[in-house]
Amino acid sequence: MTPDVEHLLRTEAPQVLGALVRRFGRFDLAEDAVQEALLAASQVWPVEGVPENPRSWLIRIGYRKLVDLLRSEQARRRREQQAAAADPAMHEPARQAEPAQQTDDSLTLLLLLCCHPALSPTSQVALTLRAVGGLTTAEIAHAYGTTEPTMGTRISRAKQQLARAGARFTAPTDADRDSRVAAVTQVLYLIFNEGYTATTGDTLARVDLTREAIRLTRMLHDRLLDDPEVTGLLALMLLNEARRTARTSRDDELVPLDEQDRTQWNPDLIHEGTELIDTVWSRRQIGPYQLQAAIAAVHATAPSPEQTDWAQIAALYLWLERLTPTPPVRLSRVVAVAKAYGPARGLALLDDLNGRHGLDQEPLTRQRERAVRAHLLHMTGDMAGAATLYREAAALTDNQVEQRYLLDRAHRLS
Amino acid sequence: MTMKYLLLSYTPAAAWDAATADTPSEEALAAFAAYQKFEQELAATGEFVTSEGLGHPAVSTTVRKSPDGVVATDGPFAELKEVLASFAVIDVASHERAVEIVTRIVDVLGEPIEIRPIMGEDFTA
Repeated sequence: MTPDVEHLLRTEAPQVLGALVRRFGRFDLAEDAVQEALLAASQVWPVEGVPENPRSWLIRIGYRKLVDLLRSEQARRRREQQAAAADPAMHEPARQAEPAQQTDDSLTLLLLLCCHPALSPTSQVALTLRAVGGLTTAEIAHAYGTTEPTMGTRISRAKQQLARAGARFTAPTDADRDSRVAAVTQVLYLIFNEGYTATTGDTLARVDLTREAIRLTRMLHDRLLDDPEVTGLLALMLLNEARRTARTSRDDELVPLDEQDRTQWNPDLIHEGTELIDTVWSRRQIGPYQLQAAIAAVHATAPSPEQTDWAQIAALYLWLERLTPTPPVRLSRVVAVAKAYGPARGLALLDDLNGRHGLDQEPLTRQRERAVRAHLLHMTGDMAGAATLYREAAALTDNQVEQRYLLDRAHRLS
Repeated sequence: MTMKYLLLSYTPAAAWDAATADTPSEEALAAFAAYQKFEQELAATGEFVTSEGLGHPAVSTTVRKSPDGVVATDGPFAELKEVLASFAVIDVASHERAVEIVTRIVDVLGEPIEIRPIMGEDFTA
């Protein structure tokens, strides 16, 4: 399949699914039907050419598959569900209150549905990639280092959970909207991060997932231009993506930020990401993604590591820590403070934060806490202490690239 | 005074399931074009109200009352050999005129059509 056809199918997938779900309900079966239609297209189009109207071609095949699926289900058992006997208006308050301004865009509605609060984050991610991203179960399984049957089970269970939860293909009410969009951005960021830093396996970056996350976030951003956090998330992804090739050396070793070849950073992505964050920043509705994007932008626009405005980054991390007081954010602030004001200030802050928040105990930071402390000790001249901690940090990570990097550091010091 | 009639167009269920249904033959396309032209004529005389094609019976949902409350069931109300494929509403002067119109449609399209009078306000009790 050519990249053009593949891109076309992935772009059309949510529109086709939206058309079927909107008309016939049954998200679970419609989703399977769309997968089959995409599969049919991937086999037929490269041979016979892309039809004049690809979307209606896909809808027609998807509809036919849906009929087949419904009929075989009906043949197995008469599916009965309790219909709402109460006043129907009670179930569609949004429709009566404000019919016009709700989004009826298929892509946005599907994202909201796939990131429904009834689902676990892993289910949200898998379902989003399949239903909205148009990825096959095999592709998703591969990206997450699991088997196709396991991923298939996870997806069908997620769809059953949605059906049980009575999740609907309609826009949430205004009160729900912000939290639902926040769930969507979180899922997109999870997908991006999974691609950016693989938690298991040999390869540091997974090209497919980062690209997919950016593509979906771009599509969401096109539809929710007024949402500053969606803009912030897109900027953050682009600014991180800009550094991807510089992040690993030719032999797959991790290259830390201050040792990266900045001429390898992608200037177009940096430009686009910086513009996005600059534009949205002036609206003063600052949220966590915008703050992270702002930090990434400060890094991206520094001509050399020495010219990085670390004081500004430390201030941005302090702001971020107030909004999201998580162990990783606290640890990142330690690094920024050390860079801006010296390793001694960094170590003092780290001791203080460990005393109050136990960063060296937290599962999310216990490994990186050692790597950071090792680096700060290294800078203060405590080579033996640094080497020990580098080894401890190496023992705590499953990422083999990072492990090699940390062991190499320890080795050079001892 | 005019009267409204619901025209119900039936098709054999087997024909709907045939794999060729998605790719209509030349004759079928020609017949449909002739029908559309006739529909435009009726629109010009003011006798045409609306017409729509329907989805496969499998994608219908039937809602009915049961001892346990109201239940919604996937599928048609009754499994039939001939299923409803499309409908139209016409607004004509007489039953004779309705039959005349439907005769022309059936002549062109080939499949049976049932004419059901729509009970207007003058029939309300």
